[in-house]
Amino acid sequence: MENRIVIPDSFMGVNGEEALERIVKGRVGPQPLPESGKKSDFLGLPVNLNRADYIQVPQHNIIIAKAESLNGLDFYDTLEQLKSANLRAPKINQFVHHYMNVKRAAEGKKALIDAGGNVLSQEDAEDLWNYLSSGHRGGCWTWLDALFEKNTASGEFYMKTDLRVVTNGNNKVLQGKPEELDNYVKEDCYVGLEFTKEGLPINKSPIQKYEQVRNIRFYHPREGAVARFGADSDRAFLVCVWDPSYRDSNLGVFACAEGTAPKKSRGSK
Amino acid sequence: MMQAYKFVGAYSGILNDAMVDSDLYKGDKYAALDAVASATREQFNQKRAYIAAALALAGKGKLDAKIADEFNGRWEFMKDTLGGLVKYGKQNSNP
Repeated sequence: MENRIVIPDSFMGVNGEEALERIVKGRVGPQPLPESGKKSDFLGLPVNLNRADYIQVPQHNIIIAKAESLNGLDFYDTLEQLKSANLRAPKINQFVHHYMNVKRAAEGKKALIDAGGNVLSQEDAEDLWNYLSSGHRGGCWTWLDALFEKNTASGEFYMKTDLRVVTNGNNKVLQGKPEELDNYVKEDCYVGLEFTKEGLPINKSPIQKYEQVRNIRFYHPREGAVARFGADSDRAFLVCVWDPSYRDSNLGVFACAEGTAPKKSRGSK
Repeated sequence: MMQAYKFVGAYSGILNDAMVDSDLYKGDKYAALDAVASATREQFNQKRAYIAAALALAGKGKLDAKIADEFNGRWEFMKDTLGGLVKYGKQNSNP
């Protein structure tokens, strides 16, 4: 005779699935595990970094700051300041993955984990989502690690990333690694929340006005422009038309750092 | 289950005789075990949502660190129990 352990659906009259949902929605802290693995620390980070101030982006083995910093600097100075702190600006695909992670966390579908391995509460996830997608806390505005140039032969844009500043006489010049771009939306419009591997939008939104959970405003790449992301009370936007020498007291950067996500345990999916 | 615990436990030597003989229970082992059962029931009541949720996750082969953290002190045994259930489920799941 086969003896099998059958895990009951309920315990003392409490249904397990309903309890799990209540724990998540009840904002008491515990959340289901993220798809990427179990709660865990992030390795190989700059030593002076406060891990509670950064969120893991497991798709890219990076952590990204919860809040923008270095406000008021142009892109050149921003990159140099970040480099001196062993940090850098997020690439477009890293930032949009982070944006989608935060969205899913705010919807209770995913856990956000800080660089110290602690799961953010539901309130904190919702606060961060509103910060990234509305004018909450004054909104956000960040430089991104992307420079667009046109291939003179094909007429198509490509993107440079891992940007660094090189001084040429009195001029500062951006240098980086070129990447070809998969097909993306080539007009200024509201776009859906699906992105190419480079982080550019794939589809025009059927709704051409801002809806916080469904679209963002997009400005397609122009020659010599860099990218930034922002959110204010009217919309969230990904802009690929920006002058790197611009500076504004509200414009900063969500600093990020590369590290190593812990290896998944044998049991994690 | 608590009734069985009461009748089997009363004379099994698990009770503190000094406590049973105190003014509170006046030597009544069944009354003392009623109090133990009542306190145990209340403690399980306080944890039952977490236990139910943890069992639901264990049925899917998962453990959640934050939920597991709810099982401290005398509840530490739940971590081993849940870990065992997850392991058992994996060993006996279809390939």
